[in-house]
Amino acid sequence: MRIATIRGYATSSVKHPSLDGWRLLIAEPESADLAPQIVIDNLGAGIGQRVMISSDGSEARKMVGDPLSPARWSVLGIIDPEGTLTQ
Amino acid sequence: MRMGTVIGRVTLSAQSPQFRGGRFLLTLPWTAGTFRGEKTFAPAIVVYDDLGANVGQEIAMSEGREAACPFPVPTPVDAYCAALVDEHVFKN
Repeated sequence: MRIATIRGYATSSVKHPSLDGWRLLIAEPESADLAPQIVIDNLGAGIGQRVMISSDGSEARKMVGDPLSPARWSVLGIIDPEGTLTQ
Repeated sequence: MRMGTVIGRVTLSAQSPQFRGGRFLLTLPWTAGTFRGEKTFAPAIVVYDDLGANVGQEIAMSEGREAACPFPVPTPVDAYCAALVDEHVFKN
């Protein structure tokens, strides 16, 4: 699992059928060893938000409901903005 | 999935039967710099494609174990073209 920032999104009309209807977001991991990834999201993460992403393909296949899906990265959660925690 | 730009095709005179119906694209994967307008790319890789991407097309490609998932039989494939990207938005 990685912490990443949502930088944008991609649109695609020709894609693997399992990705139909899914938001394809561009997530830039905070550690520079990994290039920005296209991730699937059903939580509604927006541009500028920090998220936790996972490379677990079996979870991604479960999310899209297709055991033959090439999906790999998915948004697992949206990280609370700094300063929202009370002491 | 990484983004990539297709720069060429690979044609094979003999190939594993699992690959029938698809083709192979020579693709430059994007780095963080590519998204920010630089002309830097990761080293080129070969991507299996059955969607019909052409040279110059931007694609989203799945790599690793997931690249082989769309095949009904075990297939030796490292990268799979999962989507042809029409448009993308990237904001710093």
